[in-house]
Amino acid sequence: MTLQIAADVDGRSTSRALATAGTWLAGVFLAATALIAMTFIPVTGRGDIVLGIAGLAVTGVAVVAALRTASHLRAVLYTIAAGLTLGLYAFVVTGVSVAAASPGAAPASDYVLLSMPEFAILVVGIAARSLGRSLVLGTLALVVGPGLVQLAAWQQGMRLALDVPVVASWIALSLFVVSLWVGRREAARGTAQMLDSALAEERDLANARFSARAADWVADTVLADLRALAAAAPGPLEDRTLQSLDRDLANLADTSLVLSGPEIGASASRSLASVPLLVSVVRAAEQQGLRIRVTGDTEVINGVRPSDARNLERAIAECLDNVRRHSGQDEAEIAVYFSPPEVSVMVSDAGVGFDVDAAGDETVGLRVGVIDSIVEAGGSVQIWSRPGTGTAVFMTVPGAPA
Amino acid sequence: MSGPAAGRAPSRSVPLGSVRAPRGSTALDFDPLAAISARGFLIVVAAVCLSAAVALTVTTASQVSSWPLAIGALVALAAGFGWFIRSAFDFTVGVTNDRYATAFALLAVATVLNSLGSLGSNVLVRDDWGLLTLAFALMAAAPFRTAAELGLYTGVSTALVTVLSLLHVFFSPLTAVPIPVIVLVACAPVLALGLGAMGYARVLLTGIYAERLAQAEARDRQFDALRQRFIDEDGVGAIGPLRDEVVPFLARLRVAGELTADDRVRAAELTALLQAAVDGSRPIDSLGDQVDVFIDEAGLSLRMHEDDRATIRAVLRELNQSPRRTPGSLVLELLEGEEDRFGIIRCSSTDVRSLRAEVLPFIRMMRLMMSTASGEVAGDELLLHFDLQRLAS
Repeated sequence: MTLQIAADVDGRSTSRALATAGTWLAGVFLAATALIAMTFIPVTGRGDIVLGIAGLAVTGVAVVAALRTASHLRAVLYTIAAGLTLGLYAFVVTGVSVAAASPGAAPASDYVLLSMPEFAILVVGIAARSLGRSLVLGTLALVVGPGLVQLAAWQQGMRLALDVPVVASWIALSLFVVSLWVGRREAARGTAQMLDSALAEERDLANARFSARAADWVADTVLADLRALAAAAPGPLEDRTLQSLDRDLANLADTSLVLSGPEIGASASRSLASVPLLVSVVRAAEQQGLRIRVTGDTEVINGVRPSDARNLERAIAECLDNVRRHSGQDEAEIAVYFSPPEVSVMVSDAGVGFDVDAAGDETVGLRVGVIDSIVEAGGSVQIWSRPGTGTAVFMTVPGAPA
Repeated sequence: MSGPAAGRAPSRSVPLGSVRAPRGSTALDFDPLAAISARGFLIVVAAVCLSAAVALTVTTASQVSSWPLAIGALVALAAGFGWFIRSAFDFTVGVTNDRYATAFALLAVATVLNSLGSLGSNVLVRDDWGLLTLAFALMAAAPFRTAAELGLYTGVSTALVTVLSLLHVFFSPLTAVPIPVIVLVACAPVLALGLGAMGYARVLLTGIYAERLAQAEARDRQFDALRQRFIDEDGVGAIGPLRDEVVPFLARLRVAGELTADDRVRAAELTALLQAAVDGSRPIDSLGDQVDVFIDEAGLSLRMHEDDRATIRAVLRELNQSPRRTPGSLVLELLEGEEDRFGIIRCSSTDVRSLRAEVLPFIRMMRLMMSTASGEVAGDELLLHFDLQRLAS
């Protein structure tokens, strides 16, 4: 009903999303490294490269585990494990590189076969649930990852070189994480306040609705009966009056009856949280005073192509606007049907109706532009109406099951 | 997480596996406030890319074969990120697919110019900043665009990078490394960050959408609980003399089955009392409770859209909680002009600039929720203006 903002206030969704991003990032760099390393097996004849690649695989598993765990201690342990296995890989690969290269031509310790897995390990901290933990894990990864790689290269007699892209990546990653957290902190503050306000607004609205309903009921029943009594002649009460008194007393004994019925229920848009397209149009119409009933398999609308969904949204909004302006009714129904591969939506009312054949192009219930955009996208629009029999607009667009 | 969010219990009860968000939607569609962090992230990404591009251009100057192309690449890079940032800060349109496509095209041009600028003298493909900035642009787009669109851009980027790296294989004196290795090294950053961005966009959207469904359930529960409390606390019976006087009177009449002259008088008295109570029990506007002075001569408040009311309520609550606010100075004024309706929030403070900084996230939030909203300092007063376009008739 109010403020359909879904906020990741506790940061769990963002953390999970960052863990997924980190998994892909590390996975691609490690896979690319493993592929390149494999090409060296036939060239050098060194089978121990397989051991290095196995180390890389364990590094990948440890990085993913560090990204996914909720425990900071376990994330630290997984990061150390990732660094150690990366060190094993580096020990093997640098040994092969030094042995296979002609004297003086061996690469330095910043070559690509070492840089790419170093990028992969640097992401271990991005999904942590606090900025401090994120920076600690990232820095630990820099020490145990590239740090142990340099150590392994030195052990194998390789020329050492500071891997500038890796250090720059660590700095950039730290900046990204800081900016994300600062922004998130600001957004979360606003979001939490906003959600509290939305709930308070909704609470006030519900209480206002209950109070209004109670006041209406008292005015329609008890107050009317009291007025009738004040105007009645003294003497025995009529059966009709006694029945009214029975009804009033029964309802006052159990007031839940007063607060039941569709008019006291929430707006239709509340039950449509899973169909954002309908939420926006229904809520806007309700705000203008219409009561909307929504039926059918509403979630299939989620499967409609975005461009068709926009056309459908405009068309439904226009239909509801027409109901409000011309039907003489304050109620409308939206029915959703799914007949693969098409999604159909019918907007109907029981209002005054009109003669479709006699109406001009601009007054058939929908602007020509809206109809054209649906038809051009492979859909159709049909309008049924007769004076005094209400109006139904049936729209069909291509869709897929949601 | 610090701040008000810290004590909030997670509302999620919808299993993620069963959630499928509408096609073409992004996480920002459901959580527009997250645009605050997405914009900050974008600025840092842009700064890092521009710094890296300038630094690499300078440090690998010996590999530059055409300075006009190299400088053109930097200009295109700045233009691409400039357009991207401008779109992100456009509160009405945002980063649409068309706008992102424009930014991406400019960045792709920058990548091509950067690559061609070192054609014939390139030693290492990994020194080409264009490949990295294209990858970073995909990463920065993750909050703004859908996973499917990011997949398309990742594919285009990979193809472009492959072509450029092959160009260097044939025209530049690259080290004697097998061609597939050169291509793989060139494509790895784009693939890594592109696929990462896709995963981020998809998982975040699912999580936020699940949160939306969970919040809808929570609202249903709150509505039912409020209804039950209204019944338990006898909200109906609490109307004036209903429970204490009217019910005993009606019950006595029902038992007696007869109306006396005194009963008629009593019925008339109770009618007057109850009518006054019913009139008094009509809901009053709770938005006025949030301020020291509430001016709404046109009666706009109760006709305002619920989202707008919630937004204003959030801003007022934040101002109310601020220790910088001068007590008694918070004013909400809703005005109806000949053609438009708008509102003004006034709040005095001895340190009004700090007060403005404190509520800045909420001013941004107003811009997200309303068509226009602004905050300015006038003397010792903070003035927040906003338009009211969604009003019930």
